[in-house]
Amino acid sequence: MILDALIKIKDEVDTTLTFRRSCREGICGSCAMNINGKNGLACLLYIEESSKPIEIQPLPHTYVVKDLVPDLTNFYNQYKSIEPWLKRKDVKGKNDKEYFQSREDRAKLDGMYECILCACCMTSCPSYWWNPEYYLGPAVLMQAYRWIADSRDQYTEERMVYRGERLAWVNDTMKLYRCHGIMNCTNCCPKGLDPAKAIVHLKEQVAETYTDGWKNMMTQEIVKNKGRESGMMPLGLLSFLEGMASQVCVFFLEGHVGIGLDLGRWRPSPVPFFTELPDQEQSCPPQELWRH
Amino acid sequence: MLSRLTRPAANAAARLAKSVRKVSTTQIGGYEVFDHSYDAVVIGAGGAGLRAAAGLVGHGLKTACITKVFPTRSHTVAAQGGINGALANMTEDDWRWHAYDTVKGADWLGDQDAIQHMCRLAPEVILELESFGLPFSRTPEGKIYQRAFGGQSLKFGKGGQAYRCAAAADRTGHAILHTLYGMALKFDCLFFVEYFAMDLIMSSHCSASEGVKRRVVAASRRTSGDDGKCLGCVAMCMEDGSIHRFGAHSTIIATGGFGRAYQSCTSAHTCTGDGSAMASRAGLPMQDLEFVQFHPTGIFPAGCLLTEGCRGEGGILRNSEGEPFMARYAPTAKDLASRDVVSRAMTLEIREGRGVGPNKDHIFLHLDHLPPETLAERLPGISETAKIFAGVDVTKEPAPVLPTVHYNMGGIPTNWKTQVVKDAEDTIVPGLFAAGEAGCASVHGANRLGANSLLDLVVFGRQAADTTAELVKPNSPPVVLPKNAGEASIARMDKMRHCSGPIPTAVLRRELQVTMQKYAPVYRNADDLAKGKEAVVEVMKKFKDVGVSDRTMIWNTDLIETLELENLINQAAQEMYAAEARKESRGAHAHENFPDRDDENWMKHTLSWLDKPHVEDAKVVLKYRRVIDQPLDKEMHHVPPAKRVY
Repeated sequence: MILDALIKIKDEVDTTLTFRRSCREGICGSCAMNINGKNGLACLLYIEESSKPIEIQPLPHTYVVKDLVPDLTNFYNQYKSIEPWLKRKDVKGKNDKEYFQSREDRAKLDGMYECILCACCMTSCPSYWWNPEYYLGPAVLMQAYRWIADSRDQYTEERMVYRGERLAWVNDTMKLYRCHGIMNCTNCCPKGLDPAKAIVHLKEQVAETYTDGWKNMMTQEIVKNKGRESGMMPLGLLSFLEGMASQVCVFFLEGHVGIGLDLGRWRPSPVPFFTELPDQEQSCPPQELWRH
Repeated sequence: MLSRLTRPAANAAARLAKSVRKVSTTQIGGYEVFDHSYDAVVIGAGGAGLRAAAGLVGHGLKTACITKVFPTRSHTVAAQGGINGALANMTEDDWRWHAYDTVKGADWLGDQDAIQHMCRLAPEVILELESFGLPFSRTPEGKIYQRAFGGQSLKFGKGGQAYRCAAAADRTGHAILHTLYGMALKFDCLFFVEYFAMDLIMSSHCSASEGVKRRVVAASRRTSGDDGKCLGCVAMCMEDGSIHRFGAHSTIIATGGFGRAYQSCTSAHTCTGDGSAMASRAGLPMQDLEFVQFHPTGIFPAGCLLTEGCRGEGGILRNSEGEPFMARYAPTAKDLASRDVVSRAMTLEIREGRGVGPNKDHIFLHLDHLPPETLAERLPGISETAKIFAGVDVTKEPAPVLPTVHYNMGGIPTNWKTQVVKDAEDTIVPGLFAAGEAGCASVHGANRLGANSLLDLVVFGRQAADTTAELVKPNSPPVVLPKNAGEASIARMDKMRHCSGPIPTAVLRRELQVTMQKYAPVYRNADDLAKGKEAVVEVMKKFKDVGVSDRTMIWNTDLIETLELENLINQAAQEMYAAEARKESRGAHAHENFPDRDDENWMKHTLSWLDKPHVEDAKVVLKYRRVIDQPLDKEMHHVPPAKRVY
């Protein structure tokens, strides 16, 4: 595997070469890096026969601490912000058994709970590159959905309160709707997971469960985050005018949507806006084929 | 509810927090040293460390958790099979039957009080994990699914196979670690991520090496040495090279095992016995290091783990003749016998020429007779692993496997409350605790049953927090560290950083690994063990000639790997000596010259010390300590020794 090559280089050629690694079997997520232009785990990628050298870079658009070691603090903070633990309003009695969950409900978590937080998908998403402080990114959104889809708060009447709050938290132009279905995430996930699909489900659930109470919270968020959509800061008077115009526009649009989603830009869509996937030179282990 | 969007990174928080006082010492090359004070410090953020940290914060204690990797990268994440507990979801069950199986699995070297404590608490901790959101697999009734696992029986061995291993497909360790991390986030634990803990700070008025000598001598003279209280630890921040001294009323070591001392292991690169070696350098003994578990089904040749759950779901081991040979070695349990029994059986089959492959050097694990739906639902992770690392589709072909080093039953000796003890009289070291694989309570004795380790982590992680809460009050006055605390440690690190000997770290590490693999494998004999002792002493002496090329303080993995190598040598040396001294076969320690268990002379724990803190001039000293064979209270009967047959 590529990780073996890196370790050999470190041991025999240059001991200052620095990278994270631990399990070497693709379950810890330490060795995430960009290999021949695609994010993946070095320990799961084969060294292909090739006349060209293999190009290894740290994860894209991250602060690099040294060599192949990126700073993932922002990612970890965002993960914490979605509160990744089971939330229930009732308190368990001393002799209570487990929360029952049917096999069908448990199956809804398959494809999401296996996430190893390697950040391959996060750092492959152009939306996340341009707005890392605001956009939650595919891994975090998938985990947000993992907790929303977990049926174990089904046994309290207040289910919708917590579900609603989790949904309201992500229902925001900057947190959820920076996803435009680019699909780099699903394309590079080394565990064969599908964050894009989870985000689609998330958008659908938001559409289904939205209530008026959210509108205020959301409107405030939109106003607060205006102008950050492109991630680029245009200069001077033009930008001021542009900003004014878009504010009015968007406000008007948003103000009339009611369900928080208009049917234009942020329509939930399983069809990616870009239908062409970039050329893949680096072949991947067989689990690539397991994705639909 | 979701009011905290971003929290400052642990580094920044540490610098802003009132407990931090910047102290710079210019005596040792001008290293910047920060002092912290906490009620409790946990070293290691795997299953045991996270559970301890969350428990401590839950008790209201100011806690810091120091870890050299991000918590979810800890090797707990790679555990696959499950966590044992007498939930009785599949059949009727009783924790006493589980305790009996554990005592028998440990080949009667386990301390029965700790075993009782663990098995009695098992259902409660599993339900607690589930209440934090762990996505266990489910039965048709919606209860937690439990699978069959090695060495588990009903009715004290007379009622057939027990189904008590609660599982989340074959990613239970991953599910547990991520759930515990979520729990730690919920409790707002403070993490110091990518801080490499170097040494413990003990209350001693003399230098480290003097203290060790005094303590070893004192222990052997059966008098209590100096105060010997643990005051905290010294750690180095990998990101910027700053040194941090953590003063704490309670230090909990949860740093895992040292599988990387062997050439072929299922362990991660980070499993280097750091916490155990730290305790050893502080003059404390290690217990039962000779007992190293070889997991029967590590992929050949990669070494990656295929869970025992494969055999639990119906997988069968076959030799070159296609024979399910385990029926000969373990007529009742067959493939689900205890791991040491299965590993020995596989080794014998290969020795007698019935191995598979072109070199007849491994065994086949067959899962192709199982329905593909079962494999997809219960064993998806290993299906993928076998595909990637062995090129095998387990629904159609067998997977090549070989016994591979997997777990260390031994570690820092503690009582059932996780308090570290420092001699055969069970004298407690105040302020120091150990939990998980790094500790030796001892619940696993001479051999660990599968799925008992994840249980060990959560039960004793929780116990460490509970014991600390009994002894330490929240917001206690800060610990006063001795003025020169950690100086020896910093000096050693500085020396390592600038050493330019002829032997690269990787070369010496390889030599250690080959030595251990060659002289202390599944079957050991007197000749090999004697040669192994000499070889290990060679490696210890060569450590003074090791060379580090990277001189920076920023993320200096060359330096870190060299410090880890010292820890590996520290532990491996004690293992080799302890193995050579034990003249019997018990559990995972199979001695060809002494093939039987010798309860009369050898039913005792090995205690090993290094007489000096640094491996290049140290010698190993051995003593023995009795096994605690009485349970904690009347709820369980003492399990008398018997012949161990599966």
